[in-house]
Amino acid sequence: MSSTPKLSISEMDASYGDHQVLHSIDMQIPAQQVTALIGPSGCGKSTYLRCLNRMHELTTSATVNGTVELDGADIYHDDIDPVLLRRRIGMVFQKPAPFPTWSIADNVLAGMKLTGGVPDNADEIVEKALKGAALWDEVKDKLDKPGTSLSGGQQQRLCIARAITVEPDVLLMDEPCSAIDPVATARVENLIHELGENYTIVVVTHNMQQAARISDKTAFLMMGELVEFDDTSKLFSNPAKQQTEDYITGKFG
Amino acid sequence: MAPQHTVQAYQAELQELRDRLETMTDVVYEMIANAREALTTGDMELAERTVQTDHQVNQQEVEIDRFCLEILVRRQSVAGDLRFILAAMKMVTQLERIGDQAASICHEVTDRPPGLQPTGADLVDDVAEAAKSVVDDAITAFLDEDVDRAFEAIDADDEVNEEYERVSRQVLSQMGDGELAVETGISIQSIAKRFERMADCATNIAEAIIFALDAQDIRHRDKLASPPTGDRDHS
Repeated sequence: MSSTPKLSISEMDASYGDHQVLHSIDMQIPAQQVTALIGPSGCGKSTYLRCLNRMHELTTSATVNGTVELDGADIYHDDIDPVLLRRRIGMVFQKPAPFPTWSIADNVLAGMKLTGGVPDNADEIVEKALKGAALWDEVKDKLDKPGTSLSGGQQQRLCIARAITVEPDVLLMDEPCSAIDPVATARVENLIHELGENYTIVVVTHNMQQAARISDKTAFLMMGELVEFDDTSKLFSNPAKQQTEDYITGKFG
Repeated sequence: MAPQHTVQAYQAELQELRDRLETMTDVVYEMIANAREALTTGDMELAERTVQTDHQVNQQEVEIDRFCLEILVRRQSVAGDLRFILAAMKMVTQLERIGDQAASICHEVTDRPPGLQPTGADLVDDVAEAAKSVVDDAITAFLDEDVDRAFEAIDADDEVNEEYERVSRQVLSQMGDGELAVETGISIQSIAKRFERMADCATNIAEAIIFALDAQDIRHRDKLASPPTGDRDHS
């Protein structure tokens, strides 16, 4: 198990205008593991995720302070191009959103099409990404059909394929299963587990059982503060903090 | 007051589990007292009644286990709730075994050949008292959610073992001297062993309570190569 963190976050604050939503977060996210972020709505977990690939700053008046390092390099440094950064730190959203008029294959290649061009071995890349997203067998005979012709769960795996095509180091997932049914959820969870062997994954979820199922480590956030961060099995069997215990056992006050 | 579960039905289920365990401990505790009395007085009717009570304890074991399973299925319990339910499932197994031991002691009374006096029953008084004390500590630890008391139960088990050894030696010696009929000696030895086993079961209950309350697994703590840790930060 790697002892060097993939992402190292220290004293990170995040605000929307005067409203501060994250308070001095310190966290070391391990490489090639799945880290889950849990906490009640409004606790700042989605904002946290968006700070990790500089999507937070896309919102008007949004600010970030503190440092976020990817392999030891500050991602907020002036020299860093946020667009290139997002190739290294990809994002999968709550609702699967393939480009509606694009074919399945073009959707997989979207990252390349939008950031510089598609290499000659495009077919190979599409196949590899779709296999990586456990979708190949279901779509290999209809790669020219629109991405939106797929079911919700398939669309989400298509979005995951799209995210891994550019070979990122880190995959951020914001509630990746909240808009899909239990069967599709099981497939995506299985995929997260498999991808976790090669990628560093940070996944926000409302579903505590899902966090327990899929993650190696779990962070519990409340009111913009990191309450507890530990091995998932430890956090769900013997949390150190009473606030964590109350939240995960369903004592919401 | 400790924070309550937002889902009130869940809160009620955990309370009901606690209540059912309390009822079962009451019944088992009374069985131990009755077994001791029947042993001393030779009261056949009391011994018979205690043997019958064991069926009730068996029933409680099965019902509480099933209730735990239902809670787990419905609530996917975690953290302290999960540890409490796992401990409850272990507790009922141990309580049922204590009930079995009490019933077996009563069988020694009811199966005694006619005419054979309860001679030597006083020999087991000390081991019975020591065992009762361990059961007391374990049950009180459960009722009061008292980790220290659970540790006391575990420590007190040593005394029971010593008392049992002492009875064994004494029985052997008295049989050797012809003071005690062999049949009676074997019966007393067997009864002493049953009290000693009760204390072992109570020790297991104490260990389950420590796990539930403090997340420490202290079983076989001196013998495991790398004991699991469960230190709890109370901040």
